[in-house]
Amino acid sequence: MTTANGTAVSGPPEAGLATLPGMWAAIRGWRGVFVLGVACNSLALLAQAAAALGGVWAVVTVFTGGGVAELAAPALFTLVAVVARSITSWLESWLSHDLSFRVLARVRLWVYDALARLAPAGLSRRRSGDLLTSGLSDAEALEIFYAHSSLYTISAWVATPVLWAGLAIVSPPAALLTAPVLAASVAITLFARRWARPQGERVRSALADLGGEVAENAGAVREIVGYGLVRRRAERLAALDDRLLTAQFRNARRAGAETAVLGVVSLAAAIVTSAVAGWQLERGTLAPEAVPFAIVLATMATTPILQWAAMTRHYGTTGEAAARIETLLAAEPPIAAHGERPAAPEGDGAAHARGIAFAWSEVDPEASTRPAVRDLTVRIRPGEHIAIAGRSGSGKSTFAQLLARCVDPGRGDVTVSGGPLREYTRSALPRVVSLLPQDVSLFQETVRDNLMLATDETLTDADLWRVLRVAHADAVVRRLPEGLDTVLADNGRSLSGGERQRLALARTLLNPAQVLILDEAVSQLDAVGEHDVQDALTGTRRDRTTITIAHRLSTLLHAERIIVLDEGRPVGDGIHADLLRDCPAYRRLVAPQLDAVL
Amino acid sequence: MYLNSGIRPFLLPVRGRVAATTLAAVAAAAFSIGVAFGLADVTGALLRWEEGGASAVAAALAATTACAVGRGLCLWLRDQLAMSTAARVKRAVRARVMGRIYELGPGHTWSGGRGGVQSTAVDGVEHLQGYIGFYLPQLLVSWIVPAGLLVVLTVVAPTVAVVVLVCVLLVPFAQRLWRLVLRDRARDHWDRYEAFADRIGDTVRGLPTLVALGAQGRRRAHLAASAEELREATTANMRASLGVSAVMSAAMAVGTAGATLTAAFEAARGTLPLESVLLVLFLSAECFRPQQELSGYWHEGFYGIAAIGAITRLLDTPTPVRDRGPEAPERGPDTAPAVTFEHVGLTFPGAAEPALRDVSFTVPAGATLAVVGASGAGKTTLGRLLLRDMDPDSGRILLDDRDLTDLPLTGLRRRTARVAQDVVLLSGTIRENIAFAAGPEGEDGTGPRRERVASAIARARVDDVAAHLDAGLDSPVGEGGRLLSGGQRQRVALARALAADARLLLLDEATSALDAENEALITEVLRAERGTRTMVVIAHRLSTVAHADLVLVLEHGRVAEFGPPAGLAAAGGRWAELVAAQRVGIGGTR
Repeated sequence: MTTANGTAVSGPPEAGLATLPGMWAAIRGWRGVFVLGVACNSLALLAQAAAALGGVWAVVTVFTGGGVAELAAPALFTLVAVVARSITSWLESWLSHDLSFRVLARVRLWVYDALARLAPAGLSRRRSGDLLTSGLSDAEALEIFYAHSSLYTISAWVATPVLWAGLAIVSPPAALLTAPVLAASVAITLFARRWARPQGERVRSALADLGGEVAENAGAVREIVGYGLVRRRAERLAALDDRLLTAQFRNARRAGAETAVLGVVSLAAAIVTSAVAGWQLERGTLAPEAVPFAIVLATMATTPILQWAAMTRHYGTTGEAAARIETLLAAEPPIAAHGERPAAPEGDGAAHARGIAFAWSEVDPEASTRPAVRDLTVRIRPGEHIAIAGRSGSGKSTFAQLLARCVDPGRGDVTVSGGPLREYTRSALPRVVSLLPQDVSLFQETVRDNLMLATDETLTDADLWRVLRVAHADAVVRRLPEGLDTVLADNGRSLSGGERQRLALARTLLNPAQVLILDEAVSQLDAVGEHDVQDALTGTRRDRTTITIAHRLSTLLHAERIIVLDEGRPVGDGIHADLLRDCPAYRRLVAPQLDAVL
Repeated sequence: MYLNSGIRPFLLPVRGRVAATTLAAVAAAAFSIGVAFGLADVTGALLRWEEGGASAVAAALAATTACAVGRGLCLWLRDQLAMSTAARVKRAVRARVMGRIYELGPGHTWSGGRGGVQSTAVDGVEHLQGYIGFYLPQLLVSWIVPAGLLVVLTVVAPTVAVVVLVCVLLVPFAQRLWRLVLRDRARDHWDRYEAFADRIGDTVRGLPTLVALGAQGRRRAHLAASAEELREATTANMRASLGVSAVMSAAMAVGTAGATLTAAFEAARGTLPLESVLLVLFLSAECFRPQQELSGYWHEGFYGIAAIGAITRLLDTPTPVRDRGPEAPERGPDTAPAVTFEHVGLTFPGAAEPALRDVSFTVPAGATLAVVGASGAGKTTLGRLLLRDMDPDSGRILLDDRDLTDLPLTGLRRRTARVAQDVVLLSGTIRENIAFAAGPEGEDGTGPRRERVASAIARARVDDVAAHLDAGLDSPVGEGGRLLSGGQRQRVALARALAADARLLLLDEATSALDAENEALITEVLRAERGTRTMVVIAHRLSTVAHADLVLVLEHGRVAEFGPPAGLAAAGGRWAELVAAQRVGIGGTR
């Protein structure tokens, strides 16, 4: 892990993310920047007040009969204050933006780490949209809190007391009576936050549901127009829209009331001060020239509080975002702790599942419809090329996930290359066994970086081209404008499906895993000649064990050995011809296709 | 200032509300001015304190307080009006956007994918809330209020008015100038920032792949490093682009302080009454408040313009097919149609080769056609043309004797149903997914409809699927059907198509799922429905083709062969070769 930039060293704080202690822990390494930002913002607030006081000084000078010459001092003072304010507020916005960028990167990496811990089995239960929400917008909400609103909160706590102390010097009774007003504006803001949070959550959840509905509609246009469902879907969408608007109206009423009340309360400081000044003048305990100073100081003392209130008005969203990230960080991974066993370089790729049983309800009650595995014992010899067959729902994919330790069996255990899967370290596991999902992703990086993801070794261009040739992907890369250095667009969308799969295949070949499990991709049949795939996978590494979840008849025909699953149990084991003769489940599976042809 | 001509259609229906919001904000500003007058009065009375001045101060204080309360109420009203404007705009625009998505239909390919549609129809529309509800009224206020105050100031203190005018104009001018100077650099900064966010999203989506490759650590280090690189590379740009806010706040501060100082100088020279100096002291800040508030809506303005651009682009996207409209609302003949292709050709935009060329054939009513050919031969395209996802460039397609383009789309869609290769189920239960297809909307759940659903469930053997699930037919299918396996989804889709009772059925056979039961099922359905429906099967397996009346062999978008399977096999052409190839492939191991 890198430590150069501090992004990697800092884990999430123990304290609540959306609290000041949590913030303090989260900005570890950049606290200096933060303190400087607070200082600049406090100075900016004070300079703003100073400029206003400079104006008052000028006015009072005139009122007390001063001429143009006497105005030079207040004018200069005001000018200096204005310049100071401009510089400090520019510095503050620069520092806070810089900090926000760093914090954003850090929070996103926390989210990334949490997701990586859960992947892949722990992610399947989450909606893809939700994942991205936590990853991106929640991180942004938290960033705003860390780099902007917390900074304003602290500045308010610095600037307001200073200005209030100024008022106390000018007029102690006014300061005394203004204090409750200032306290009230803080209390009102804090009180409003308590409503803001559930309201913010309602808005967000309505938005998320609306987003899900729109995404579903967009993905099912064919079905919706084809089956005449446009009106029905429009009604559903309108109902969701109503829910969102109701939540937003409620939020707007609260936020509007808060703005209005705070506006009145902040003015109350000036009004109270004026009244007190009148009373003091009556008793002769205040010079008339001091009055405008007192009034302006009282007004200015509320400004930082108002700034803070405006900045944290969306605390509801921040609090909820923080809560979601906290949930994600605390989520139980579907597999228990990793062991201490390193990957043996000479691991033979033998796999042995002993009496394993697993039901998805163990990790996710919602997924109880997914096929289970019951009392399954399978022994795979080093270097074998196995096909797993079975009708849909027979537990093929579940078995594959158990073999790759995406989930742990409730009973029994799996041993690969001589070690129980539970004993391997996190980093050793993918070198021992690797399950390639059906829909592999290409990343928005260069072809070279995409390929290199599969390996720690440094490879030369010649190595990469060799692998590309084996995967029949060399022609694809040669056609790209910058060859290996071409950046692939969004999941390789600039390439055809077949081209993408060839590149993904090349990357798979670089993967050093001793056991490779492939979920035979649906579309690969058309795109890549299937013999190319088989040859590439088995031909390059004769010693590597490959297990293919077979969807194609021809894969079964050419497999060295086929394991047939039914209802989560092995019901057949052998080559095609023998199974056809001896295994009724297998016969049911392939006979119709064979009959049609022969 | 963020304003462009694209907002007209969005703004017109709510112009009254926007005006009311503006009015409420202007009224709030008027009350603020009242407060300033009140405070000036109070301060004046206190500064020249004389015995018995208390009552004058008290009266002025009461007036000031009243103005403050009035201001609060107006601000609250402004927020509520803004929200109601936003509600109306959002509801209308969201419905239009969704409607357009349906009009574009299945033939349109979204360049940004589903995520792009979602971000336009949800996030984009949400941005209209801030833009039309809050930003635009505030933009108007930022001109109206300073203009009004300048009139007041011109009367009270003309020289002060000049100082304020210069500074008020300086703010938008500096903004514009700054943007002109820094245009590309500032945009570059934000673009790179967005690109990095994209990259994170890309990584999160690809996590299963990363885990499979054991690459999560490498990818993480890479991301952390590039975040730092990006920060270093853009810091200079950011410093400069943030300068605009510094210039603006400086202009406001100079304006406020300058006005007061100018007034003080005038008063010292005796050209301005002292009361006016106090008024300027409290009033000058009000001239700049609207602009300051507008800068607080910067994000709303920025994202609003971007959202309007994206929404307008979506609404202006031309549809791939032109609907003849609803002038023929009748259900159309409820008989299986004959299908005729006459010299049909189609080239996708940007493609070098046509997808289909000069395709001609006729399928009699009630017959089953199997379309075969290598991948990329144009099989799927042919099916899509038949259901009018898009129209051919040349030639025509007839349903019975009517040109497809002369039929209203809703009528055509009622007469047709399809089972696609990539089955999409709507969230809800299995039963709901089948039932919704069983009749036009609004039809109540009476006899024939219910029977149709029950029979479809039985014929597609969905009851077998349901038997394995705890809640049976009422089990949820999950987002996009993810709680069901591929084979189970396929069956539900088949049942759905059967329940729709369409007389023209298009089946795009799945290429892969080795699920013999489903395969047997499809052949069974083909057999059972023969004669009552016209069926077009895009076949990947010869077993299904065996039950077809006619076979169409496509090669590079052309008809290579067409005729009954037995005849083609005997002729020894492409079809015979295909059959032989599959036999050899399978016979090889025997």
